[in-house]
Amino acid sequence: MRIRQRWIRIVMTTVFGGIAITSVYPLFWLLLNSFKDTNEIMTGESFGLPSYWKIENYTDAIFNRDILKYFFNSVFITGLTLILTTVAAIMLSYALVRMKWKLSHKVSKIVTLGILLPSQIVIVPIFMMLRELHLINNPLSLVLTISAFNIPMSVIMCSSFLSSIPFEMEEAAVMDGAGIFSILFRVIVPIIKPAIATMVINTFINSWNEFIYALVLISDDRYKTLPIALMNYSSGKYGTDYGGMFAAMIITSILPILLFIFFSNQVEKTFSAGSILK
Amino acid sequence: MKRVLGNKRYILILSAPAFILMAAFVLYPLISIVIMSLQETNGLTPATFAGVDNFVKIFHDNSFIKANIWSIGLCILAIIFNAILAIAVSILLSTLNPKAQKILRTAFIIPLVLSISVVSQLWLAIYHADWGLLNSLLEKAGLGFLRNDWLSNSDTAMICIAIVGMWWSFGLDLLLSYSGIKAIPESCFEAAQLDGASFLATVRYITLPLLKNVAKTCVTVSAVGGLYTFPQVYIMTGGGPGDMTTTIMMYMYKQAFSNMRYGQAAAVGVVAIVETCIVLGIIGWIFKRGRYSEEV
Repeated sequence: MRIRQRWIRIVMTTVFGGIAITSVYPLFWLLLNSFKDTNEIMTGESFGLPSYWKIENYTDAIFNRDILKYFFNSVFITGLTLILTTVAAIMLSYALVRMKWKLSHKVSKIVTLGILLPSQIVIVPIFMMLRELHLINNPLSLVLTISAFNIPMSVIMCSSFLSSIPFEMEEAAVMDGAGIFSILFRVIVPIIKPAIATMVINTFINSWNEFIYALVLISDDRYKTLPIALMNYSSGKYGTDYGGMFAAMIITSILPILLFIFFSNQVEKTFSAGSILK
Repeated sequence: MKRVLGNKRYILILSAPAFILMAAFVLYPLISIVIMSLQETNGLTPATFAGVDNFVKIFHDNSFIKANIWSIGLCILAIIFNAILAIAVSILLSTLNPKAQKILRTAFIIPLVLSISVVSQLWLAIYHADWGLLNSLLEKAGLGFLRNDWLSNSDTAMICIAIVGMWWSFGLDLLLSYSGIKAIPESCFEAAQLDGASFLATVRYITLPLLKNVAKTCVTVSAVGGLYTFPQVYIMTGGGPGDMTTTIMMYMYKQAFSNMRYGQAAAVGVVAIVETCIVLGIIGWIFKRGRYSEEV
């Protein structure tokens, strides 16, 4: 489908270009500012390049601000969440799609409920429950929470793919006397790789960027993740160190951005996978 | 085959981990929030039954009513400027040449992969009264008289918060509806072209009706996102000035974690769940009546 009038196409491209610049320029500004001295940010030219490329913003973040510690916390929590979510979701989707049991419809309903429910809304009861169990300030409680809220979407992504692949491979494996786990991890997992990629990207972005649960469940500075640790910069004794904060923001975003640069098609597919929930 | 796939023990092992997590973090909290909303508790002394006391209290609180209005306002803004605008943009976008489509799509999606925490801090800097990007831009454009302390001014604070959420999640709706358009078979458009249909007629009678389900997803996602705006408010204004930017989630957070009124916070949660159901119900009703094509 094309619009025939040339001038409409030109106007459209210009308008969209404008929106696209609004969308990208703030990030470019952020990147440039992360190399500027706080003084230059506050008094200098907003749009120009840094007069002096201040790498110290980054080295200061690493050596004086413990940014590596927060980075490691984020990697640890995201890594465990990825493993737990993916494995649990693959197992449940296999049971739901391929196996016949009485309660499977009830469990599917819970999965749907988990997708519809905005996770933030139950933060008070989850906080109370974890406090009762003395799991506040425990990174594992954050892992369990984020996993629980990512499993439903992952199950949907996985099972819609799973139901589209033929039975024959599994039949052959059963004839050879394979048990359930070797069927699942030797036969099924290699076939559903595209679905796993989607699940992993989705869970990665959600858990790396998790804000509200990381804020409420972790208050001990030792276990804070990057998005929460960013706020340390604005509560400094000598006013906000903006240059340093911009550098920390770039460090926080570096993995998602790299993921997007190298796997942009996969990332697009992941975000548009939401359309399977009608 | 049956021996393996019908084995009760296998089924139990496979479904248990995911089921237990969902039961503990989705089902149990949903029941627990209703019970908590009927209790008086400060988190230290044992909870006592309070009936509908918590609900009476929050509905007598002016700032709770305001928070609801703000949240619903954000929800409507998100539907208009995220969902509907994204659907319109993606329909037009799909008429451009493939290379331009790819570049523009990439530009729209980038903000989406960032943490809302980074996004909020970034916009906090953009709105900064002294050296923020927005004020500098106005100065450059010769509109210096429009300079404003955007987030401390109670007239502009809320709209500024709304813009952040829209900027962040516009790409999601765009991508949803774009992939919905790409899923429509090319032959439909070819047939329309053979019949001599104009672009607008093609959109009206082919694209929009076939996009109905995707459009519903877009509207639902944006509506829920707008209704539950929280990190932007927490980072950028903390709900202020006064309670001019307190959304329903911010109100709940304050009740629970600043005032230790967990019972009232749970009551807020219950009200929010009911509100969500109503909003989803209205969206479902509108789409069932098929009136949506007039709205776009």
